[in-house]
Amino acid sequence: MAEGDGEIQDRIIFNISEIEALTISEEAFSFGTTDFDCPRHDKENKKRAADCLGYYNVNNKFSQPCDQCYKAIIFWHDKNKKINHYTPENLKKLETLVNDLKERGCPFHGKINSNAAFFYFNDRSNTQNFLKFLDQQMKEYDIQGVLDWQKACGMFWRLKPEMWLGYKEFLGVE
Amino acid sequence: MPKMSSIKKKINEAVKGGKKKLLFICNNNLVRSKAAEFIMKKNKKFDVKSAGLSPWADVPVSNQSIKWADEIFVMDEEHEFQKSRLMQKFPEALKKEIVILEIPAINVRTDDPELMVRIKDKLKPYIK
Repeated sequence: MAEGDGEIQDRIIFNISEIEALTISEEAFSFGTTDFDCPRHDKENKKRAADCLGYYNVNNKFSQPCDQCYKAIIFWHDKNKKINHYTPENLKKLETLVNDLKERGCPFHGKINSNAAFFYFNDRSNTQNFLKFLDQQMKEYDIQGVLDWQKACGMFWRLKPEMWLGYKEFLGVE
Repeated sequence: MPKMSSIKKKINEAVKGGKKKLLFICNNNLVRSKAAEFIMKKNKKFDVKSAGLSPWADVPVSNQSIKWADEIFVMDEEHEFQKSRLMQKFPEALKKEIVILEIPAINVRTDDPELMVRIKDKLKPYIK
């Protein structure tokens, strides 16, 4: 199985200084056990990301593979409790969880920055099933954060919020 | 990997003594294994179930489902190591015939109209 960025690693390590540097440059630290077909992740061909957004802007619908992109998200900042769970201890717990998933042979791909951790899927049902599983695992591993999900990247919603019900449901056009 | 013809022969032999129990397995039990279950359930010769290897699968594979099955079908070994993962996690599976259908998740989209055709094609030896 391919690792994130094509590097073979025995163990996934969340490097905090790297995560923070990537967050500043509006990127994210990538991890996982599967290939990742994300235009924004395609560093060698940045044009793909622009094409995705351009296609959406003109046609009011997603191009591939964004049309099937769903993310399960752990937000570190709990706005209700006014607590930020982005701490080395909490990241270490998530790191343990993802390595346990890896050892169990689970297919997954994620990104992490100082705002949130994202797990990517290409199916809504699978995302919902994963969210239920992740909720249980967060309790088991004592991982703190606010669990949520969304369709594709937030940039699509920000570009045309009138085509969305909140940031989850893409209504599209008739 | 056993030849399709020998597996078909074994299945036909078993059918004489009762319905053969087929278990289809993919990662998440949402697309490929569900589609195969749908196709094979139409054939009254078989009892059919499907499951997924992920712990968050719609129906996760269990020891019970492995014991239940006479024949197990996984979708892909080359990219997803499903047969290896199954045997590692469920030693009971070592006692069963495991067929690899060679339908990787790569390039398989949930709305792919050709997916059913591909699965039907792979299951042809069993449908007849």
